[in-house]
Amino acid sequence: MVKSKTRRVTITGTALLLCLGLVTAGTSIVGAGAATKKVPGVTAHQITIGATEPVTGIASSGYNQVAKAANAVFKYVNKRGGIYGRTIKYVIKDDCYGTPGFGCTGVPNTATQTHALLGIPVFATVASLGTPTQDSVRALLKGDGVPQLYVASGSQDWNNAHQYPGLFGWQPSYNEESKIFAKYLTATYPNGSVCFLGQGDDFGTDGLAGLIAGGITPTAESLYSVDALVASNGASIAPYIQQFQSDKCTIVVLDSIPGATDAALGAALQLSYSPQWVISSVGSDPQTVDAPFVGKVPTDPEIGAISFSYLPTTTTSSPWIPWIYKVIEADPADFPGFTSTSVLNGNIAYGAAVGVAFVEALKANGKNLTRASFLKTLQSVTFSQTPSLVPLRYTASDHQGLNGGYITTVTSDSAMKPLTGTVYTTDSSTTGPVTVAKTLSSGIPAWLK
Amino acid sequence: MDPFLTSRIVTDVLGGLTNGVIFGMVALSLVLIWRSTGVLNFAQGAMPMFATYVGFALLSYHFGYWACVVACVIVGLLIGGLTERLLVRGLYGKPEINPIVVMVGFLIVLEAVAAAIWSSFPRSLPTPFSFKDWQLAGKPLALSPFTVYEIVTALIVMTAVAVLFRFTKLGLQLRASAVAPEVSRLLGVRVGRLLTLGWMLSTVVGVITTILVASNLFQGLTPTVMDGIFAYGFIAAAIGGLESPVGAIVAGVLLGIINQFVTDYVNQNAVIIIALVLLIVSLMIRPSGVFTKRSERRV
Repeated sequence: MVKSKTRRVTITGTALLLCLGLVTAGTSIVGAGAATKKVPGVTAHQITIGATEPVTGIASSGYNQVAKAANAVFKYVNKRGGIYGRTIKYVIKDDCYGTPGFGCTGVPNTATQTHALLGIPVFATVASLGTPTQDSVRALLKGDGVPQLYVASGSQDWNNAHQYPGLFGWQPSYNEESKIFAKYLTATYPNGSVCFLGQGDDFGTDGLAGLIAGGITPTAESLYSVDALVASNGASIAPYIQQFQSDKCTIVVLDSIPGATDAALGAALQLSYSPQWVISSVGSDPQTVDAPFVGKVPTDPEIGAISFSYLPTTTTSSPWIPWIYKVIEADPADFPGFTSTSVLNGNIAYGAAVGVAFVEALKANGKNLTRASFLKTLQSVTFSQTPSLVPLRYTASDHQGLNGGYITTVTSDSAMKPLTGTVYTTDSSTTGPVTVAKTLSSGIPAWLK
Repeated sequence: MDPFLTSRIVTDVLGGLTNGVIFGMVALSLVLIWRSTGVLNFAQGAMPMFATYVGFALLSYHFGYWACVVACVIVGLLIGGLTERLLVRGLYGKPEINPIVVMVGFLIVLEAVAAAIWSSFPRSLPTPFSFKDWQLAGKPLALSPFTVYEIVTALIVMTAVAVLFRFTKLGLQLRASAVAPEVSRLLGVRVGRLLTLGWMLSTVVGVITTILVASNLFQGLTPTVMDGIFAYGFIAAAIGGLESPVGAIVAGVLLGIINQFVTDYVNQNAVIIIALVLLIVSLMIRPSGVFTKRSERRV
């Protein structure tokens, strides 16, 4: 009796474990959009847009601030009368990065949450986060004719204007960032032995391709598994770092999320290994990376690491930094306790910058707003008054977004500074050169001050 | 210096052992609740996580590491006891799926509340020992004072639990209360109290495990700190047998070592697949667990 109950419960538990932690359900239901004369999500006084974000769950740490920061910009604009009399309503749906468990209290299915947005309806999705999550709803949004704007990911999947004319990226691609790293490393460390650790998806593979395209042949290269990283609480990264130490690598390039960056830095500390770290912008935010080390080690192990930024760092005199502080401080509902002395981390800056990108595009579009007119505006206007270092420019065939930035170094547990201040630009191709950017973004437009 | 000690095989064994004792501890805490109350506790990672957050809040008041550990244990005892009394007690005697579903719900609630209170940002826990691996002839040994602390702590906890269940009257009563509550009551055993005690003990084992996990150099304390490790702990408990503390520990340690070798010699992505294959095979061959004694039938 007891044994049979044990068997039943063990088997039930196993089945549940498989359902909860190891299987991510996915559905793809393509809906048909009903043609109406009105522009969906747009009235005389309001524009409704939406986003799916990991508000809770596996990817929520840090990333859950991106959409809130964009919304802080919209609230700021709304208080000043909106854009052509229309306020912006931003509906954020928690998709838990499409993964159940790990504290998810939303709906761990991006398609389901996107359907919810379509039912509102929304004019467009803006700054929805994640490569696999947004890949999974490209067809759905296209089928409903809903623009999928400023996807928060450096994947090149967003640059497919022929197949997805309404799909636009925003940040530089992983490939572009790596090419700029390669340019810097080959010039600064001509005799350095470079090892590469990247995430086992397009983040890592595109990053590695960019390094190689930039002229670097890694001594060792590895791709880590996110599942193993999560399941082992970071311990799965240690063997790679140990291998790099054995290979006597003097430079380690990480295309990693912050959790994996922490694991790599922690493993190196354990091994008394101190290479020159080069960490992608995705996984280098100083405040996020330092969090597990506070009080445990005398100095933040990330200090001195090289990184990349396509936004001005907080240590510069960019007028956008105090402006973002002002906007975030004005939103105590989503950022309680944020003051002028709080740390402006990379996720908040990212969200604010992408929020600005959207309102500037709305402004450039003019009063008569339709989806078609907006996409035409995006593809024809160069947005040079944005927080990004280089202007935001799309064309009918190039929907990637920003294509430049500068090399930075981590200076403290909450800040990084530009290493040389030279802003480079490139493209995602294997042959496109890395050059010094000829045109940089300018200041804040008067209507936004 | 003997290069064998820093060889790939020894490094893998030591690394696997460190992870394995953690899996074993999680498995043990699951077995403790199962043996004492017959419930499979899917919130076994979340309850100690919550206690660890509360206990280490004392750091803000300048209390030291060990004071925080004691506070975590006390909070763990309270959470374990209250959970049994308020949430689980009404589920005894109901279909087995009921407590499982309730505990999954409790897991989600605890993690959400923890994220709301403390955010999902990683929190650093201090540790009393150095993380730096000892070096032999300039090569790391894959052992540090902290990993030794981890292993020794796990051994002490495991030994204490094994002694409790195998050699003490209390352990016998705990088992009797779970297996035959009515008979135990007739024999004068205060079953209700013992069921509560089982949950308290199990949560304390979980708290100690969580502190060890969250104190490592890799990721810190988050509301979901135990989720991934729970999966391996469950696999170890199922392979070793939910009735067998020793089986759970041995299976946990072996799983840790196998994982390390698979990571090193095969592929990191294969780790969970191999673990699940082991689980499925063991369920097919010995559904009650590899280390659980076969039931005997007297005719």
